[in-house]
Amino acid sequence: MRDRLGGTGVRSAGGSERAVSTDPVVTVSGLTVDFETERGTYRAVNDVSFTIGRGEIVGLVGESGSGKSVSALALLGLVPKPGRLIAGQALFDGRDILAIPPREMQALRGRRIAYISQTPRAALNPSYRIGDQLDITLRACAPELTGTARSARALDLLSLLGFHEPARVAASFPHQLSGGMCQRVCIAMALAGSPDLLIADEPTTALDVAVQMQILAYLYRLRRETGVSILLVSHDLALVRSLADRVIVLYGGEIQEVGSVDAILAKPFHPYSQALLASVPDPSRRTDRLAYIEGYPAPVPPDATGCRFAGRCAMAVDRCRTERPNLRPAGADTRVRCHFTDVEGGRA
Amino acid sequence: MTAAPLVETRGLGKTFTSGGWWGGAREEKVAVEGVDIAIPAGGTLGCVGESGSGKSTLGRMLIRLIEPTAGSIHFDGRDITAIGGEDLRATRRHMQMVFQDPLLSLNPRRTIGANIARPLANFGIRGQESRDRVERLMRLCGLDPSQATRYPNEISGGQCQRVAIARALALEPKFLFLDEPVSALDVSVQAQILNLLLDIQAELGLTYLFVTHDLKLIEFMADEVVVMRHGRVVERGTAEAVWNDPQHPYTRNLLDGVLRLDAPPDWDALTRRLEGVDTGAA
Repeated sequence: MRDRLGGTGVRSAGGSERAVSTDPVVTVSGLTVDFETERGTYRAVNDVSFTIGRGEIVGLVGESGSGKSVSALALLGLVPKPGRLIAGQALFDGRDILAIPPREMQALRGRRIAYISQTPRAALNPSYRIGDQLDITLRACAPELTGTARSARALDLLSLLGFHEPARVAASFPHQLSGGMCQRVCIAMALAGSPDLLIADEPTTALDVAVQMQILAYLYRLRRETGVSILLVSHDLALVRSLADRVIVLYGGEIQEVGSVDAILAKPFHPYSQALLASVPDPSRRTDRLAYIEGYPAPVPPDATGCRFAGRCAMAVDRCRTERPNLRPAGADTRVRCHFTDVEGGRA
Repeated sequence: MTAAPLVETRGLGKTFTSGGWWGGAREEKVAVEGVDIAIPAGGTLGCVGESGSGKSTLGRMLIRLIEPTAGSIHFDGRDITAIGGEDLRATRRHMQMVFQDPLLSLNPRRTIGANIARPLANFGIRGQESRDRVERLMRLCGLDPSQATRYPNEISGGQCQRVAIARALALEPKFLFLDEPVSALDVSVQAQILNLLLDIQAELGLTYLFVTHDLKLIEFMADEVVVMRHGRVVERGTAEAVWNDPQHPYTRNLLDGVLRLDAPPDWDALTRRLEGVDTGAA
């Protein structure tokens, strides 16, 4: 795959900047986003800080409204409306990408930082052939390529994503392809600029189980071959578990728990992580009812106090509603935002 | 389950024809072929398969939203394959459908209450009786009746799906075709909706066809399972048997695709398989 990626030019996958290093590809600190709606101002993301190492896959887990997509989009300089960036920094290549001028962000977006969405069909232009859309992307990402080289590279990218007949796919319109095929096309496009960071927002939610595995396997292979870092955004713990090295659990716009995927899956500390884990159907034990979290996540005003999960938490006490817990270590590999973790140094 | 089948098909098939317009070549696509199923009253048949396997087409034929091109459909002991007009309308109130995308399946310009009341109005139930029924349905589906005046975009996806279920139940149907009813929902909300579906089934004695691509859910929801591929049933059995001891290679393939919480998949083996695909591509 490396040969294919490097073979037709663009930045070489073997370039020195790909060298394995421990420094993070992106460092986010204090990211805070408000949503200003007719009904008032809500805090979508509150004081979110995390790093993504080079070649690392970080899973960002949370329900709709947890702020996971907003956090991910902020890394592309695309805080969705009616969102407004209140505070925060995201260092990428020594520069704060939340503060750089739009033109400079434009140069990074799609090339150094790429994005694949959960609606591959919507991400493609319905009235252009796949090949033409790839060509437009390559024109922007690799202006040094000639037209013929671009066509060759477009076909290369398509066969890299497992298309048996890349030329036929290139000549197709999006509506002639299945959802899984559209997503593979989108990943091919994201690869056009040989990115350092790939943001995958629910990349398989709209796809079949079998296709899901295929897409995830491509992401896995991509990381192995090119050393790209991936921020994997999903509501599905099983999906994140399958691919990520580390997990960030978001709820109410705040990080509730963060740690290695093995540690969190084996022993989640936060009541929210525990409940989330319990609500996944487990076919190995047939139950009559699934465990679930009562109620729905509620929007939080900017001046909210207390734990974001207190309203739905089975163990909440008065202190949880008034005092915001800090993110503190619990176990060797985990940090948790819950008052109960400091009582006994973590629960069983 | 020993109950007589509420829904039964014999040799059911559907071939879609396209093109043949302005000199274009006519194309035929077999979506469903030779499907025999029987769903006992009060039972749940799970139907799994990939997109394009014909599982949704099958479900839509059962409730006569798509006209079959072969075979027959029997509902409540009656052949409904060819009925039409008022007869079909009267039969259809006993069969309803819940769609995948709750927001898209509701009318965004109408309140939640009006959405639920729409099928009632279709059958002449209006005014106070309609309002009473809507309130009962909302309670049954875990919704606060005071939310009846809100619009679909003001509530969450899980609540929208509850509204869609309430609407499907409005005419007191016997049979629900559940087409990926939780695929668009968050995991924690999925559990709420699945529990709700099981609760109302137990309470109202409903019969379900539960279509999904997620085998984890089938095992939880269904008594019997059919696995579909290219429009045909390739495997059938109890949910447990299919889960624990799949016979058809395609079913095994589907089961391999189920992501588990206990351990990550063997990506190296899986990517080797992809590489095999790649070399065969040139």
